[in-house]
Amino acid sequence: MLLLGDNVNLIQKTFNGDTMTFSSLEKLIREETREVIGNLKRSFSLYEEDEKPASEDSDKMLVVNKESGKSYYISKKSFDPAKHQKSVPKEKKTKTEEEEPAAETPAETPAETPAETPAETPAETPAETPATDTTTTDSTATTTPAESGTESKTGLKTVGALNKVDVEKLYKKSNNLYPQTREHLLQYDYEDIIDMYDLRVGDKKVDFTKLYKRAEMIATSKHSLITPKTIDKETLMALGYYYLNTERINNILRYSQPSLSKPEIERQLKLGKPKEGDKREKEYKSAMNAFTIREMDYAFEEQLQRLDYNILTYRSVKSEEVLQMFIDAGQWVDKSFVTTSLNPLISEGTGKKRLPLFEFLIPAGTAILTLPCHSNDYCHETEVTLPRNCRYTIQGFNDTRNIYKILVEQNYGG
Amino acid sequence: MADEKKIDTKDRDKRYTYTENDAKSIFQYGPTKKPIEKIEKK
Repeated sequence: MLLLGDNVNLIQKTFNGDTMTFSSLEKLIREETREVIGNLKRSFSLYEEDEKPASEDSDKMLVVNKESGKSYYISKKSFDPAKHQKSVPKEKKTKTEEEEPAAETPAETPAETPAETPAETPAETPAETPATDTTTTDSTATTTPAESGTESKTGLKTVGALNKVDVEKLYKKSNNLYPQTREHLLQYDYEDIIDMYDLRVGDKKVDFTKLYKRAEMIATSKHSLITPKTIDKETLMALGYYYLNTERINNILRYSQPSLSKPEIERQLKLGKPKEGDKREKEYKSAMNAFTIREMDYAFEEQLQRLDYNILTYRSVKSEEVLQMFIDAGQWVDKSFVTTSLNPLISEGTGKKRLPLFEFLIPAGTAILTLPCHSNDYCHETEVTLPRNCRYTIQGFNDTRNIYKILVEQNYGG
Repeated sequence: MADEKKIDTKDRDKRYTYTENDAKSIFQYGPTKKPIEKIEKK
């Protein structure tokens, strides 16, 4: 990780107050992520029918921690005689005890999660991570992600694995999290998942479905935490239109200005959407574009849209050449709205190598727009829309993962 | 909106990817206001 001169102070102030450094935040997140991911896994396992309880998994064993005296299941490969003592399972426990073994051992469970040391031991990680299951299961070994079926539904290869019920459950669970856990979940940076992806990306024999699903579940949980429960009709309509006409709206902002007057916009909307080929079609589209920009600008001004927590969102870069243009600038102002996702794999699934990734650091207090899943056909994209005229500054570079950390600051437009 | 069965699936990945056109349009506004030390990729 490289941090640039004065920007180190900037990001410290913006993200961590006066007492924390960026690196200590990273360390904190890494440590806390174990617990968060451990908790999430317990929650998510309720939905993953293909995952066996630890007590029925032949690769796992029940041990007693010599220091704490607590019992829990670990992978057989993780058995350390200095630390663990073999334990004989009691006769059939009650259902509650069987289902929640991790509840009494939160500190130990994450030792088997990929979150612990993905960077240091990528070669060893697959042996114990859930994602590896997807690479070794005979029934899926020859299935490529393109054949998994989500693309035809969503247009994207990496999302769409969750159904409505899954999403509703995740929303409920996420909203029951403690504030501190919410904060750490929102700052979780998927490094372990990205490492798993990078390890096998391009290998057509590998099925990434489970890995994609895990990323989508975490992104959806994050989405539920930052999305207002209710949203006014105009914002809903404008954002829904923006989701379908992003390029057109942003081109207007970049190269021209919406020119219709408010009465003309209202007149066109009152008349309603014309039929295809109608001579009013052009005027109606212009009115919708202008309406969308006006309503989104207005929504970004509302207190309701301001973040309570710092968050991380993502956007990929198409090529090294495009990336270099951003690197050469180091800092830029974008006059258009910027579409980002809470899921770093959102644009993946097609190449031999993962695309360069921008990780946006969005401080608490920044206005963002999201649509609640019940009003959003594109919920699986976990979109976070940023206001126009934000300033973007490259704060750091993760060389191993080709990820750029970009600080987002609002209101730099003219 | 949520009741619609079919959703538009065309080019959804492009919405989350900076393309050459994005970069060109962003940098048409001239140099950044505050030049910073560039990052050199190894």
